[in-house]
Amino acid sequence: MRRAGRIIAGFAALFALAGTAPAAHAAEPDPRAPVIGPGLEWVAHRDNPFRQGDDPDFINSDLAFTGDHLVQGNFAGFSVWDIADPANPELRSTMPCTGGQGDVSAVGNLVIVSIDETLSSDACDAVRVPETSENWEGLRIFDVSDPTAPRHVGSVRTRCGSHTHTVVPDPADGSRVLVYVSAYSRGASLNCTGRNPLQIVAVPLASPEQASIVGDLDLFDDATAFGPGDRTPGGAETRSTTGCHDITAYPAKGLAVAACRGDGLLLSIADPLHPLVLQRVRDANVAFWHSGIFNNDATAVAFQDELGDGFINTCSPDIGADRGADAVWALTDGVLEHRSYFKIPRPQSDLEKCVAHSGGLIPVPDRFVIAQAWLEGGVSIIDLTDPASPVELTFFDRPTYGYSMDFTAGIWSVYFYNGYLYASDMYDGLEVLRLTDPAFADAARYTATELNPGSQPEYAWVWRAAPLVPTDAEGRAALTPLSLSPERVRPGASPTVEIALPAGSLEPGETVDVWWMPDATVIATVTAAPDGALPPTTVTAPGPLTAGRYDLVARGDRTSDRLALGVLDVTEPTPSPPPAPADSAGGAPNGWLIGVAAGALLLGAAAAWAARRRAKVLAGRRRRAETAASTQSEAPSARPSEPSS
Amino acid sequence: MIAAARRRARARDREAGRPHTASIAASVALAVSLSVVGCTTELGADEASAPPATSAPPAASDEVTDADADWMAGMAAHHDQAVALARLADGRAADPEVRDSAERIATAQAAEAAALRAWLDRRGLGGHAADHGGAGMPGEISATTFARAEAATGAEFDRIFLDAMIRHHEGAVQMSEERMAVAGDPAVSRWARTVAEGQAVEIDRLRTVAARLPLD
Repeated sequence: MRRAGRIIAGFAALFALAGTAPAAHAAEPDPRAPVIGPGLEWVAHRDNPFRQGDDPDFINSDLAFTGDHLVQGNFAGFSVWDIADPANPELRSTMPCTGGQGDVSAVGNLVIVSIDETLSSDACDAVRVPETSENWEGLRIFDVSDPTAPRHVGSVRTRCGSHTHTVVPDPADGSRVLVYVSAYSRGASLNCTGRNPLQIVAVPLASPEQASIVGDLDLFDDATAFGPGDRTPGGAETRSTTGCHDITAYPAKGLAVAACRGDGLLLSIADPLHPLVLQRVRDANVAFWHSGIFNNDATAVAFQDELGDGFINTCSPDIGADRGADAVWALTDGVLEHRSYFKIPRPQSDLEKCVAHSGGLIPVPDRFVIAQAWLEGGVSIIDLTDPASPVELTFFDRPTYGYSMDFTAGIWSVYFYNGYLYASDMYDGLEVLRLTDPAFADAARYTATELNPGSQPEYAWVWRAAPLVPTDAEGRAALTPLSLSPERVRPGASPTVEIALPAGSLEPGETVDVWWMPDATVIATVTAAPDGALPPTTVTAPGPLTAGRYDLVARGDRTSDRLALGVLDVTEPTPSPPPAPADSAGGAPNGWLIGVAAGALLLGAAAAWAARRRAKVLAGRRRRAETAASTQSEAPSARPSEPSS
Repeated sequence: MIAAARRRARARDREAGRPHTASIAASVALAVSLSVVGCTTELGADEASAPPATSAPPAASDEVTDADADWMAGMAAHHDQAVALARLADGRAADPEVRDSAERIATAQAAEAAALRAWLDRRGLGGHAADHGGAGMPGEISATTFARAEAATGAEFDRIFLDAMIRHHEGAVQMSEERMAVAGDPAVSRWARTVAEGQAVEIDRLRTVAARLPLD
């Protein structure tokens, strides 16, 4: 609730900013300098390393992410970028390999590439040939374990090439992934005829050269069967149900949406080898079902309508807000119902190509926010939380080239990955953007190790809810011990303690919250060390504290099932055995004589220790620690809201 | 390195077996001397490096096949007919889905025709006319049909519209098929493919409407 309130306030602030002039880059003389909306920062740009002027055979396509690497598809191969520092993407390699669209996925060290043009062979030096000659098209697989030297390790020829593809885990066999191959009729084609099946390719991760087709599935029913009248004299089909353009899988929910040109399909992929059509929808305004994006709860879907296939400007008053737009659907009890359309509110010049294109979810808790590409209409960040009334939050939009590009141009796709937006511009290259509004703090904190277009992870923001600490002794004993120094303090004002965990306790680099359990608040947020240790960290317990035992919990975002528990013992000192200063408030319970002695010694030690750790602790915190240590027992008043055990 | 190597790669990528090719020079100045002779364009054959992306349009350095130019010019003219018929729907069509389809066809195909012509213009081929060998365009809408559509209203218009537009779209699919069957710029092949696909989807939709409407 606290965070929800903040998010709403954050979005409100964003709306309030809308319409103000873009901050950075506006003054540059570059005629292609983008206009940037509020709350969006342009972090980096990298040119398309394949680019050959305006030659459309060297344009970028889709993006995939694995670890610190971004793979950018191209009609002439792909690029591998190191994005460990998102503000400074470094090109690790360009892999020349003919064939479009070059849509990519990344699974561990493997990169999978869709080829939907007839080539002379599967080899990277193949040439484009008419379908009437001997030809190859389908999936290529590369090993990028050395990102500077990708190796072509396998190919799978499919029936009708692969316009796009979707990686789906195989729950029965973690040693392989399944790939749904989307392809559709090319007309009077030798191979791409009739209702093209959804082909499923299995890729064994350890032996990708053995990738093969393991499923062949017709997603359409008899109502869409072709009759003799459904062909031109030349033999081309005139039905829309010849296959799908793109499939977005949401494996955690057992669902997928297929955008199949004339139709939208809702699929059950509970058994991923045997997808089932749950619903088939059409819409008066959706000309070409291109792709879809689920919200995190799978209660809404945004479909993109690629009216004009990216060759025209649909972001014009002539075409209006309902066509070439996003069609937003509610998904209630497994049924899709249309709610609204969304088109970017900035009309584009007719020198530009603009239509709804590819994008993905931004993991903002409790909201449905997407980042989406609109070709030369740029990038739009759209809030679809109420599917009936979509709102654009901000945008990135370059002006025209000054002339009409011959073919499709602009931004192909944009995805949110580990706090940054990465946009693939067909000619111009790679753009890195960052959403600066605090409303995106939780989204930015989410750490992924992989992200593929068309395969949605289920996001969980584990850090948002307080940890649940077992109450029984056995359960508590089973938790990782969090070392506290000191372990005992006197009652009084906010004490400081140093916490730590040994190497191997956490995932390297993960974000760790330290929770003060009595009032379920986070008192520190730390990054795990490269060896998985929690570096010694000084925290201040909210006081003043009365005597009792207080739980502290350290929880890593990615190891949230392994809580580390420490108990701070707050004990009245007794005047007798230790020569402690007699500044106790008195009247304390007398059961803790030894403890008090040890606590006092530890306190002194902690203060000295903290003073030594100048380099590692914030100066302010250290000052507070020393102050607290010296004023430990003043004014014991407040009670812990929830003393533990 | 890369420019020369990539130019070679690009040359390799060109589909083999062009019947007639014409090289188009890369300089805007040269475009002045451009001459169009039938379907074959001759120009100074200097290949220039691609200019940087500025507000000045780089002159195209592509080789243009007859088939490419024919398809571009033919499809632009073909779209013009679809737009003309679709624009008649306003005030005449009865069925809302016919009206919607007509509106979509009119706006989308007008935009696409403009894009096709921009491609031709950039190559100095603005005056190029496709050769249909004396026959009309596939799926051509006759003057008689236009006259009937113009005179009709309500359900009668809807029927004329659907009938003519379906056949017209089938013609566009066929023209694109013919382009895809021969050699040329792969990017033009991709465009032809998307036109064929888009119009097939539209035909499917128009058929669905036609099946729903009363017969006579």
